Amino acid sequence: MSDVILWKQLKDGNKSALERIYSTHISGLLKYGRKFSRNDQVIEDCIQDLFIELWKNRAGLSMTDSIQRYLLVALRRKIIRQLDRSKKWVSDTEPTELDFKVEIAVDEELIAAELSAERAAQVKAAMHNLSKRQKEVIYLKYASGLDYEDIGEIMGLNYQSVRNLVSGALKKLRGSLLTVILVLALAGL
Amino acid sequence: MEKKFTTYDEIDFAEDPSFIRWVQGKDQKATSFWKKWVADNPEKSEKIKAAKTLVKSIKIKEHEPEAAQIKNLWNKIDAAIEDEPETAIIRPMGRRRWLSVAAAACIGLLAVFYFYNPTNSINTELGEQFAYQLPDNSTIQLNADSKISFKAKRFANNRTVHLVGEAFFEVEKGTHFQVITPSGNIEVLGTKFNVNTRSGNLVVVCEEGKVRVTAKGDAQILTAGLGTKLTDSKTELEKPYAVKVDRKTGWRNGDFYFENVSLNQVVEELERQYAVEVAIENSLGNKMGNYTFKNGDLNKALSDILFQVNGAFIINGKQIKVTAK
Repeated sequence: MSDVILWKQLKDGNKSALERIYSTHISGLLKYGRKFSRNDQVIEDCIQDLFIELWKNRAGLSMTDSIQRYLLVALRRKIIRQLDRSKKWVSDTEPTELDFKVEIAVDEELIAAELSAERAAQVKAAMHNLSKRQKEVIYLKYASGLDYEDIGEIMGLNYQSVRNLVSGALKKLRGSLLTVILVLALAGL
Repeated sequence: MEKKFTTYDEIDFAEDPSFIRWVQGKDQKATSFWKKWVADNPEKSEKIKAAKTLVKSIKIKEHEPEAAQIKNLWNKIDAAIEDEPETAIIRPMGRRRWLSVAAAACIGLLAVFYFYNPTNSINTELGEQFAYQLPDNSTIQLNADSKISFKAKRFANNRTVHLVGEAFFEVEKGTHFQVITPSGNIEVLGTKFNVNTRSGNLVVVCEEGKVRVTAKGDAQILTAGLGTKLTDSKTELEKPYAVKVDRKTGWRNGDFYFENVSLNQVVEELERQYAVEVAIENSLGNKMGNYTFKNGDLNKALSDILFQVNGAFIINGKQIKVTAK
């Protein structure tokens, strides 16, 4: 079923549509949320609020052609508000850039190509050295498979900024991976 | 499309959505495209290798949430929305006089646009389905190789849609809603129904509410669960007959059912869904029967259809040959 139709059923007050949206997107929402905070409880609370509001305000929801994007935008907003609030309570500093933690899993094929432990560490470090925003665009593009427009909408950035972040991140990765790329090229992979 | 890739460096490749889907092994179409492209462009092989390594290195470690966690969270949400009382939202009417002044000023301008009402049209290609929401919030799901057109402006006052092909309509309550097809018209108030105009026929099935079908000066009223048709050879609509509506509208979920039709008709639909061309022996094509296939796996769809007529098939790209075993 297409997003447009499912969303319309939700607006019409069809509860099984809400449940269907939940079961389709919950895994992606939890995984994305966890990148902002290791505290699952915080993320679960935000998701719970999100779905309750979705149901309460269903009649007034604007139309969307991508439910995934709609939910990610809303969840990100909620998490930021939640984390800002708890931070401000501790100290009175400016709201800082949100932490976005991604951990890299080294590809088996790369390991199979006799990737030494040292080089495996290089790959990990390369990802680690990206800025938080770069990590987030990389995550949304490569793990969630979203396009630049959707990523821009989720992160509140324009199209060009998203493109710049992605290519900046890729150039950084390429720099750190240069030796690995060379080895693999020689190995004929 | 293909040309732009020749100027790509490894960063450009690593950013390309279809390239990413290929490396991540997520997309059959992308895989066949890139395999061919790489073979055709050996001078880019270094760049491709580097880009592949880049994309592969971006593998993010994630744990799938546990089923229990997902279930518990839903139960909490469900409980919270369960005891929500039905409330009506009442908006106070504001007295905004400036608004009327502004409106008056705009009327002159609007009058210019008022008479300009272009026709919107949407068509689906072979192998493609598309859901669309009309300006009055009614929805149309278009099957492959079909076309609708309508005037978007003041649509709510004149809800008329032209259709060629097949579509499922969910019509919002409101004024008269009309579907015009080459062989006849369907009028409704607010309901769900399927219209099929393939091969010069008109087949209408009503899922909910009431529709009125007119063709060749003849009219039939359909209520939920009834269908009517006009085939090329007939001069009037058939008397409404009971149908299994979910079978007639199964295409919306990728399930295709056919009752008492020739294999040729089934193959025509298969061609539309998979964007292929099928050559079939006459002796097989004319066999009448009940057939069913699913969208998704061409091999399986062909085996399902041909099993009962004892047919065999050979797929060669987009060309398929069907013969008796």
